[in-house]
Amino acid sequence: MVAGYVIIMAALALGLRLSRRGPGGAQAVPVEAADVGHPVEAAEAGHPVEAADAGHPVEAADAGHPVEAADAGHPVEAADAGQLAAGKDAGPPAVTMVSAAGWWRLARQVAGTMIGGYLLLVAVVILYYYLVARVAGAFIKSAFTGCALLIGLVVPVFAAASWLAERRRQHRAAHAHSPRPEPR
Amino acid sequence: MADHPVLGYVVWAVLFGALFAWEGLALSHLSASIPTLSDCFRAIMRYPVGRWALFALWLWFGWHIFVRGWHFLLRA
Repeated sequence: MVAGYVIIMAALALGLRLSRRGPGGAQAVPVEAADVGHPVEAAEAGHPVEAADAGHPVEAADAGHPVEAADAGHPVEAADAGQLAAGKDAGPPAVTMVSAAGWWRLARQVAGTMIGGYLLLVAVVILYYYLVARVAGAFIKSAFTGCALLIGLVVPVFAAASWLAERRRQHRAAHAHSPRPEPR
Repeated sequence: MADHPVLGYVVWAVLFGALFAWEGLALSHLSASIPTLSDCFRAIMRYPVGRWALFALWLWFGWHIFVRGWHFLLRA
């Protein structure tokens, strides 16, 4: 069973890696940036679709309303919206920092998703238990406590991973835009 | 295995096989009209209710694998 799980996960990882590669084999680097709400880099690299991972900045940006994208609950600073409005020829993008308000919006969106999903699952479980099948073994109690346990385990890991991804993005961007020494 | 509904297992196997085959076809970019699973999830996640449903699905899966049947992955 473990082998089957590993095979499935490996196949999914391979598919994900293939799908994230560009047509020429180049890696779609700005995905991490887009994941935490930075549509600028994603759009400039020619991967506007990936920017949708953070929510919906793509529609707004495509429609020429980048400010709405920044205001729609995405941790993007106003500078990003300005760069979007200026277009692709505005020079290299500045290293943007995610503001405290941006982190707050992200946390609010994540919390809303978790609470909504938890309540939805509990409602389905209760309906299933009373309308379809009386499953034995503290079914409903297990749904309440088990799902809460999973959320409690996942939240700190997700927060740490998001913070690390953002830190990595800033580090990479800072290195990419630092002036190179003149050849002698 | 004698008491097991073999036909039921076959149906599940065919369904999962078709799912992976369809995803492989989409990832191969042979046809632009076939969306990948990621495209589908992206479309669903545009809406809060869609995100709730996906998160509920994820919770349901994790609940069954790691809480209700935590020995599932260890049963070789």
